[in-house]
Amino acid sequence: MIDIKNVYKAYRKNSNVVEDISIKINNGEIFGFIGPNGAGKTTTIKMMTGILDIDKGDILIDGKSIKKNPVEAKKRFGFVPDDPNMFLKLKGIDYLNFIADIYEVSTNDRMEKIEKLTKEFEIYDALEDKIESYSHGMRQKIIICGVLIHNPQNWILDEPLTGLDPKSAYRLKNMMREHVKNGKCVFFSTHVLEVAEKLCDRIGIINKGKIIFIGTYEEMKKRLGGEGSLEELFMEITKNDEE
Amino acid sequence: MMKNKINFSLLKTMLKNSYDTDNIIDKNTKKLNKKSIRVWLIILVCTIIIYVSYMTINALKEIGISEFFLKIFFLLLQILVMFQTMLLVISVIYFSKDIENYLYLPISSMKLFINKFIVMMSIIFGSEILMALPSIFIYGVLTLQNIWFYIISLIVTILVSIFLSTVVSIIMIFIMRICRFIKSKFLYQNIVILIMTLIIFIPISNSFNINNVQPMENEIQNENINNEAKARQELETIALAVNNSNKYFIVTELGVNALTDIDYHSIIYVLELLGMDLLAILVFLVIGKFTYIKDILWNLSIFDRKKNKNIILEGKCKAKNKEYAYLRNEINSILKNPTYLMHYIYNVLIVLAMVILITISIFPVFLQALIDASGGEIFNDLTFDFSEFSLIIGIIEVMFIISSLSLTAISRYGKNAIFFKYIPIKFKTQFKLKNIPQIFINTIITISILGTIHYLIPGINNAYILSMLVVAMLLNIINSNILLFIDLLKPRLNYENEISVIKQNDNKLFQYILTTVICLFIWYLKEVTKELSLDLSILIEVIIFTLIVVGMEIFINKRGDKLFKNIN
Repeated sequence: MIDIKNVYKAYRKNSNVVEDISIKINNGEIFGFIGPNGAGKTTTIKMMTGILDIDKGDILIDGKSIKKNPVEAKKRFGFVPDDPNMFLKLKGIDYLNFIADIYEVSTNDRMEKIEKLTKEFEIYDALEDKIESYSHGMRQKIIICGVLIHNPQNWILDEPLTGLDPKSAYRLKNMMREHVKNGKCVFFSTHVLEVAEKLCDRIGIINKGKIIFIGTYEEMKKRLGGEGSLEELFMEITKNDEE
Repeated sequence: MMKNKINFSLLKTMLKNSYDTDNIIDKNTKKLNKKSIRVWLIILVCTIIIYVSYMTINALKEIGISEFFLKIFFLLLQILVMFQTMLLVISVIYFSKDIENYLYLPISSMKLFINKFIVMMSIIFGSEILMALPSIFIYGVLTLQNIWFYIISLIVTILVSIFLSTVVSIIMIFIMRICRFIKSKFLYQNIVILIMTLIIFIPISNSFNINNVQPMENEIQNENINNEAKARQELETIALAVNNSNKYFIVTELGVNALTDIDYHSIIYVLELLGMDLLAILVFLVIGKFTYIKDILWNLSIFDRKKNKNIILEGKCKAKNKEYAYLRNEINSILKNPTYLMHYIYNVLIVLAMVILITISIFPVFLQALIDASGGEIFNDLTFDFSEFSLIIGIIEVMFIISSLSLTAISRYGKNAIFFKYIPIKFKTQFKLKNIPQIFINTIITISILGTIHYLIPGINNAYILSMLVVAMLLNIINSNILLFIDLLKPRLNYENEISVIKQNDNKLFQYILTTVICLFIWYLKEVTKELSLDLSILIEVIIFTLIVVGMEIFINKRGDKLFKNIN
């Protein structure tokens, strides 16, 4: 469970990038976080993961504050950043072992997970190659495998589907569904509104640093009083907000 | 031929890619950016070079061998140029990241080759303007040379560099072809550089082996010779070693001759140099015409090939302690990256080896020269006191400058540095683990210097050697901590490539300032403990440095979390 409580962030005085955001992502749900470029999505995710300090408010991961108890909170989530170009000089297998060591995954567990996950994402045969020789999609896959290897309670995924081939994107979406079926939670940001529409239990829309909508797709339709795709509703709700 | 081959638009693009001048030149005023740390760093380096040159030339003038400076100058110039070329051939001409972007453009391979060579030479000339020309100009001023000296010295420096760079590039091309059986890019680059390093440094170090230096013609083995003459004789022996070294590189002799007496002979020497340059460039271009594009394509196809091995996970997936895994990753990030390995490990080891080798070769002669010059008085009452102790500690501290691992411990990761913010390891633990590579390298430097001192001056009591080790290790920790503080406070996470992490790192200025401050502090301690015994002075120094280390430890434990604030 992720609980974002009245969070504020400003890079400059009196200029909040994120203003009074409160979101509660319950166990057993996939939460889609959408918004235009520069709306505050990445800043929010960075605060959730401890990359950025929180000016005001708090974020709890399974009840552990990222502000006051960062190490314990960090043990409880797995994070896929938007840029998969990490540790390029390491071989795939070395990267996965490194992550498994950091999250204290036992030898047997990691062996089983590495085999299962990398075969599922079809990168098993590339594990002995350096990550720098991987394509963008393969890099994305190895980072995702790195997150799944320690089986965190909460997944925080920043644009996880970018660069993935259709087969892998389909698998990841299924994995997300299975993850929440087991009573865990997934928080992910995306620009692909169709994915959010079909995959998410709830959607949060952020614009100019403020949450302008939280709820299900059906609730959004009701609120705007119309039928239409999420794309159309998104355009309308962000337009309304600007007005 | 060259005119057609230099495509100015291409060259401009390549140069823009290679230089990050935003910081040095003010975008608005198009003038030198006085707010840039890099500008001040350049000014500082130039000032140090001018000062050292000034002192050296004056010292040599006093004993009437000022022209000896030219020989030292060319020896250092050739080492600088050859070493730089060796690294640049790999990083600029053959393995630069932008090469792939030019391959699909309708540009002939020769055009690409020549323009890449010009980019490399521009980098070398840039270093020369900063590091070589101030010395030669100060020599001109102190020895009252006329305008021709400055003009010819400028031409000679450029011509010598072109020749050496071209020859080193040709040798590198052959070594790279010979080493093609190595299929790992990492191993390949390192072995090529290692072979080239040996080719360059073995003759130089051999020249400095005083046993190999033949007695000079005018050497007088007369017991009645006065001390000054004897001292001069010893220094001439060193000059001969430098001379021997210069002989290996034929153009440097021409360069020295051209500048020793400025007359019509100088023009002839310059013309000779020009002829040799043209010949070397011609050979280089012919070789490049037939090999360059093939070599580039070979590099791209072989080194990027995937192994697709059938991995056996058993034995490859042993769980390790997370601190150990973190440290191993820190070490791997240096060792598995050829750029970092070259700059942070090879460079340190080569400089250290050269310093030790030259010290072992020259020190006995130099010491003897000093004893003779003073009529034996200087060292008659030679006892090891706190001044010598402080001097050695100061030398060790200065030697720490050659390694900046902690100064880039964060910046090396670029945007990926955010990884360290979201993993579940305490920041204070990460801080300590990140410092270990720097502390390890500095320990090697410390032990090597103390070992050399023990070898050269066996009279120093072992207990004092051990005390120096303790003080140096405390300084090592202080030094490494402060460098990491600096990188954490001012991390540069937007580097385009690995080479810019090292070359365009403004924080290096702080390392120079830190070293100066520590050296001044050591000198200050020496002054205030003048009246105390050696043992007590050492004890005071150990206590002070220990207190600083403990203070830092408390600070890291208490404020460790805040230190990582600027990574985002």
